[in-house]
Amino acid sequence: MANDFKVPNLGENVEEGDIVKVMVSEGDEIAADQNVMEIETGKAVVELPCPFGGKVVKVHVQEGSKVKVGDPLLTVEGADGKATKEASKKEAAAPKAEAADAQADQTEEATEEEVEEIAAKVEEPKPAKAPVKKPAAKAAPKETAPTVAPTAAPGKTPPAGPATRRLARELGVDLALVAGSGPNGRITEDDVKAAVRENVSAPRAAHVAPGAPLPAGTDERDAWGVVRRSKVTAMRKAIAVNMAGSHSTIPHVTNFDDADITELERIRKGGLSDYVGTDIKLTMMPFVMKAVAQALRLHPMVNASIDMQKEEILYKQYVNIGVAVDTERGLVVPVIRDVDRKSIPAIAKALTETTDKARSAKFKLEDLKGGTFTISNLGAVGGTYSTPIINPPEVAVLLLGRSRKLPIVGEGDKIDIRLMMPLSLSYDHRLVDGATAARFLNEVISYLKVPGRLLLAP
Amino acid sequence: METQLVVLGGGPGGYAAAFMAADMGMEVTLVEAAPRLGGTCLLKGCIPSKALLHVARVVGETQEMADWGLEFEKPRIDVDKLRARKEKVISDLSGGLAGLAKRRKVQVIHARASFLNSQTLKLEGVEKDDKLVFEHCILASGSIPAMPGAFKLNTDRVMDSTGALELKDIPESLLVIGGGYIGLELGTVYAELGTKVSVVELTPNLLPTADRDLVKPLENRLKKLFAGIYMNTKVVSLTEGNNAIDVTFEDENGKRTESFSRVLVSVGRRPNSAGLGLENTEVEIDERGFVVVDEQLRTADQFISAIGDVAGEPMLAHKASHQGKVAVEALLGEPAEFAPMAIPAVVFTDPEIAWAGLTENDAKTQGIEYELAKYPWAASGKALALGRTEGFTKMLIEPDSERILGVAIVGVNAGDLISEAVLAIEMGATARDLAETIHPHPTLSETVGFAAESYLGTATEIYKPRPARKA
Repeated sequence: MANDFKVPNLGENVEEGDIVKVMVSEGDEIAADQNVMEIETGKAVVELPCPFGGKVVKVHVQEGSKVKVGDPLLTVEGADGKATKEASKKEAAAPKAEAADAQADQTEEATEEEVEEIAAKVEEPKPAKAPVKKPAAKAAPKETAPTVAPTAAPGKTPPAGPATRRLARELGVDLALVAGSGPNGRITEDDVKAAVRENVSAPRAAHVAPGAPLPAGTDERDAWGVVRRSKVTAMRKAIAVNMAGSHSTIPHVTNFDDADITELERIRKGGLSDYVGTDIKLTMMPFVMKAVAQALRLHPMVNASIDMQKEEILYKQYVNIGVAVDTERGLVVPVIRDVDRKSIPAIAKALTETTDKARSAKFKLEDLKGGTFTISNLGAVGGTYSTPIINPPEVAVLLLGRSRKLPIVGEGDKIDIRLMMPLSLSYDHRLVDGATAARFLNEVISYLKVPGRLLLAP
Repeated sequence: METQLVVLGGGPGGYAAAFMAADMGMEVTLVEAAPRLGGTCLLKGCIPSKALLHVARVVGETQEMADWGLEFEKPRIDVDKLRARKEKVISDLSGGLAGLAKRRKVQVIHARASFLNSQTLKLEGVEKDDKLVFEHCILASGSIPAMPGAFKLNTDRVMDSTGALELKDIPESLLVIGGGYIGLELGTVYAELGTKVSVVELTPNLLPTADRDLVKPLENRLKKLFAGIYMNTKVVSLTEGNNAIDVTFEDENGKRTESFSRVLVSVGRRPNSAGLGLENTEVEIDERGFVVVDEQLRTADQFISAIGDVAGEPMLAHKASHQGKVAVEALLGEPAEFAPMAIPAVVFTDPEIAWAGLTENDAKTQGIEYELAKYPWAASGKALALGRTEGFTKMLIEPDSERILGVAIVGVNAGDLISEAVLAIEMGATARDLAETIHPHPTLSETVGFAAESYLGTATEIYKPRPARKA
């Protein structure tokens, strides 16, 4: 069978690299643990050994390719027994729950046949191996007694210069676990790179990351390992029912766009110090809410509801905006009323009070009702675009991503650095046509780009 | 106003950080309360004191020449000219910094600043737009001389190190309170210029943190240079008398009073962390007033890093400038950490004392096993040629690995000689590495190689049987 050799975990905080050298070609026979590529990460060039042998049927990269952890490098056919671990663990795990992943890591030592068997029985994990093996010292210095390990004793810093120590930090290598090849165990930059290669080719069994704490429940074992069985909370149930209902009845369409908020950010920052010492946080959100509220007044279809049974459209003549708040218990969407008639400072104040209330669970059911539109802000967590789900009976929802500086081609083909906010607008295509949605989103973007318009809005 | 990075404090840590950040493409504002850049080091510390110590050394050498058959007259000293020359050294360096800031497009604001919150500074002495909003701040506010309340008199006859460096006059007599490095350096300057200098120290030792054997050659020389050295002695009170300060001492023999033209209070320095509005941020301050930082110099406030004297001991310019660069690199996501194996310490007296890495004092209190190699300068041709054989170079060596753990030197130019030791310690060098590095002859730097050779029993000028070691 054919197996893919993928870019392995290269060290802490190292997610990508450049292929500087490909040492095999299609048709080559390679042995297990043979070095097949050189990859450059940051300032280090590391040789990558392929953990399994066989015939190279495909080389997926060439010199100069940029690769990320997990990208395929080679496809090797007729791999030996050891080889099957990479591919077969995925096959064994895939049909069942995701929870099997952690267990699959522990079965890497198993052969193909064994892997197939563990679907039916519970396998004890193999003993963990140290993440970095200590190779034997190349030449023990004559002063050193043979029983003395070449590395420094625990608690002492191993001998390595500042440049080597920095490389070790960059590659996430613990120098205490590296065997130095120099006199008296002195560690060189090559030793650090060698330690990374060892780490890459060593089984990953010891690398089960400490997980986040789980909610209360009962632990039990299934075929792949331990599973915590926990009750669905009332709130999670409500979210699940609403989300499923909305997604299955409403034909969702999502438009993606970006708003230039360079000028707006300047105004917001300028005003920041006026709010020092108050409870109000002057975030971007009140400005976006004001822009959305004004745009909703101009595009009433997006501020409406549809009643399919009575075959009626309900145009709301008020603008109540729900703001998605991430709380410890899950997502809640408290509603801020009459946003179109509030000033930006008043919106900021209402928003602070409402989110505080939501987070402290002091809100009433009334606070969650009567919305005509929802805004969800993913920016604080990160991410750009997403496809948000509409909160019925509303017909649209706007998701804000994390703003970032982008090169924008401006007038006269000049490239300018602008702060851009990613926007994702989902709308109910039964009521809102694509053009309507696009016009509405353009309106929002134009308010955000020229905040003077926003400030002068009634 | 707004800025990407504000560096608060224009000393050696602050300007190193600001310049590096600008070089790496950040938009930087440097805020300094004093009207010039340079901080304590340049304006009222390392640099002016070294300029004056150079003068003191020349005066001292002319007197030593009598032994060689060269008689010099006592120098005629024009204090105004001397002060002006010292001031020119400062203004040249400070002007150079201002020029470098300009070329790097670092915006320099001379204003007192305090934090309104984690991302806003209020600037005093700026006419309008006095709020500076920043994305990140590197706090480099330094330290100030400690002045105990009992010694605060409303007269310039009682000085701190800043006052002493102003060199208002050459007083007839000077009492230095505190036998630390600042007091001994400035005491040396005034003594060589002709002042009768006395030193009073509360503990039994001058330079209390240094190894005793290092201090001995200095103490022998200071006993000749200074009018009095009072150990185990407490200063009970200072009162302003007739054109003098009356000082009451107390030691095991009881109390007595003596008059001095001037008094220098040099009892240490304290971090400058108060009055900056840090209480309006998340920054944590320890019981001694230092800002708490991690290895990347980040404080408990995600928007603020801290470097230099305000971020902890040792309060040394070269530590600050290194931290400044680490702080900037850390902000930019580089794998930098402030984790040195050795920070050299130098006392610029005559002779100089310098050490790096492990000291014998620390090794003993921490129970760290070491072997000692000591090379007396009496065996060095260069030291003999200079007529300065009182010095020595010693080395602390880890017995199993023969790695260099620490080096200490007392003697002329010890401060320059210690650099080789710092590199050796950083690189994890062994005694043999140093012994087999060829040092130029005849120099004082040879003594570093010779100390390592004396450990291996291979020093030419020293007869010492090889130490018995496990094969």
